[in-house]
Amino acid sequence: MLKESMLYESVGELAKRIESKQLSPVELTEAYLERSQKFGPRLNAYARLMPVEALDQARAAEKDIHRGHYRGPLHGIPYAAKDLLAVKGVQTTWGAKPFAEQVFDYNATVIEHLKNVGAVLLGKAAMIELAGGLGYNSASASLQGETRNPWDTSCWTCGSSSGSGAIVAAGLAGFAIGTETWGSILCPSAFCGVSGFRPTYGRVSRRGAMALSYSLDKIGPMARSAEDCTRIFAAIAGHDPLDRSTLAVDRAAFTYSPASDLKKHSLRVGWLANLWKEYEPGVAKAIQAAHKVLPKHFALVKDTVLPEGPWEDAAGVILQAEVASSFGDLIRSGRVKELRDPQGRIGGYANLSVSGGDFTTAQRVREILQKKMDALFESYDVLAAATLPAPATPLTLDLSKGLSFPDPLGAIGNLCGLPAISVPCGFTEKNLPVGLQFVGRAGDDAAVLQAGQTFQHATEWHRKHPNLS
Amino acid sequence: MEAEARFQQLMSQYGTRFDAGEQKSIRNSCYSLQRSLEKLRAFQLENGDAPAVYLKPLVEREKKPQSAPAAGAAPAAAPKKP
Repeated sequence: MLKESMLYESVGELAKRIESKQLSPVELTEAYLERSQKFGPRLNAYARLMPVEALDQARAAEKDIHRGHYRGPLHGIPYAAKDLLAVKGVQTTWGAKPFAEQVFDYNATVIEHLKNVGAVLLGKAAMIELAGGLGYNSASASLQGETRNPWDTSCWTCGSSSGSGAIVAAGLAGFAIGTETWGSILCPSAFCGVSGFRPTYGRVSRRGAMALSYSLDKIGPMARSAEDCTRIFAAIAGHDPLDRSTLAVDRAAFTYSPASDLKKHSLRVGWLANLWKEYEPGVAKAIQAAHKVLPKHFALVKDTVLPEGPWEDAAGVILQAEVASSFGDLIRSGRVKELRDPQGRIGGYANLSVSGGDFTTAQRVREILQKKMDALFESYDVLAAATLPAPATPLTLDLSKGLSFPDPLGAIGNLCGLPAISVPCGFTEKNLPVGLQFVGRAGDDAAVLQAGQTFQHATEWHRKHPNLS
Repeated sequence: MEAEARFQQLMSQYGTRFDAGEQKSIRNSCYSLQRSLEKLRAFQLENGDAPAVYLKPLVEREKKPQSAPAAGAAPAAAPKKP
C-alpha cells in the first residue's frame, strides 16, 4: 500500500519513480482510486469515477514502460478531467441536469493528447452547471451538489472547476484539467491551495469542450506545482486543425525541459498593490509576506497600476452575448428552468437582449485594451497580485453578496487572452489557503510559468496539504 | 427607458414563465446590463477602431486538413523526459 505522502507528490516526483520502475502505474492508480472512493463523495469532487477504464489504461502504461517505451513524465500518472470535456462513451454532463445523459462518441482533443502521452484518466471532475455561464448565487449550483474544500469542508472550492480543485488539493489524483472563461481556474486554485495555470487563448484546443463563451474559454492544468503545470501544458498545447481558434503551429506549441530555463533572463514584476479594494486581514498578511519574497528572486519588483477603462463591462457584455448564442436554445426553449440554481434559471434571459451593435462596441473596446496591456508588458514580464482578496467562503454563502467584488485583472486577463497562474502563498489564521497570481503577455506563457516556478523554489506553500482524516 | 424596454420585450416573449420574484430579478439584470452598456458607449472610440475578433477565412488548405496531424495525433510539443 502506498503512503499517503506519495499521493501528494508532484508529477515530476511520481514520474521519476515510474520511469525507474520503483512505482507501478497500476499500484498508483489503485491507490488514487481507493482514496477517491473514500474522500471523493465526502467532497463531492467527482461527477464520475472511471475505475475500469483507468485500470485498463494503467495496465497498458505499465506494459509499455516495462517494454522500454516510456513516453515521458505523464506516462502512468492518473488525472481527472472537468466534466465538460468529452470522453468517448462516457457521460459528460456539463454539471447540468438538462445534459445529464449526454454521451459523446469522441474524445476532446485535450483528452486525446493526454492519452497519447500515457496519462491515466481516473474520472470526470464535478463542476458548476454550464460553468456558471448563466449565473449562480450558490455553491450548490451543480448536478453533483456543492464541492467541499479539502482544507475546511464547511467551505467551498470556488467554481467553476470546483471538483478539479478539490481533487488536486485532496491528493485524489496526480493532477486535473480545468477550464476558465473568467476566473474558473484561478479562483478554485487559490481557494484550494493548488497551482492552476490559464494558458494564452488559443494555445490549447477546445475541441470537445463545452463552449460557453467562444472568445473567452480556455483549458488549463491544475496541479501541485507550477512545474507540474508546465509539464502538463507542454502535453496539451498545440495547434488543432479541428479547432480553428487555436493559434498557428509555431505559436501554439510549447516545449519544456527542466534542464533549461523557460526564459533566458530573470523576470521583471509589476506589482499590483491596489488591485483589490479590500483584503481580508489573513489574505493581506500572506500577500505582504509574498511580496517581500519577490525582490530576492526577480530582477525587478515595482508597483504599477492597470489601465483604466470599462474593461469589466466589455468582458461582461461579450460573455453575455456569447452565452446568448451558446445556450440560446436552452434559454428560449425554457429548459433552462431545469438548472439547479435559481439565478441560473433566469440569468440567461437578459443576455438575449444584448444588441449586435453593443457587442461589437465591446469588441472594439477589447482591441484598445489589448494594445494598452501589450504596452504595459514592455516594462514588465509579469504582473503579480493576490489571486483573490478573500479565502474560501462558507458553503452557505449567498455568492451575490459574498463574492461580488470587482475583478479588473480577471476581466482584463480573460478579455485579452493573457496567460496566468495562481500559486499558493500562505494561509489565513483559519488555515485557509491564499493564492498569488502572475499574469503575462499574450503568448508569453513561459514567463508566467517561470514566475510560478521561481516563487515555488523560494517557498514551500505548495507542499502543504490538508489533513482529511 | 432602454432597460425597461428590454425588460418588457423579454416579458412579452417569455413573461408567463416567471413568478413575480423572477420578474424582479430579470428586471434588475436588464438595468445592470444597461449600466455596463452606457459605460461602453461612453468610451472614446474612433471609426477606425476595429473589433478585436477577426474572421479567419476558411482557405483551401484548411478545408483539406489531411496534410496536418489529425486531432488525437501526438501533440506537437510532446513533453521530454525529466
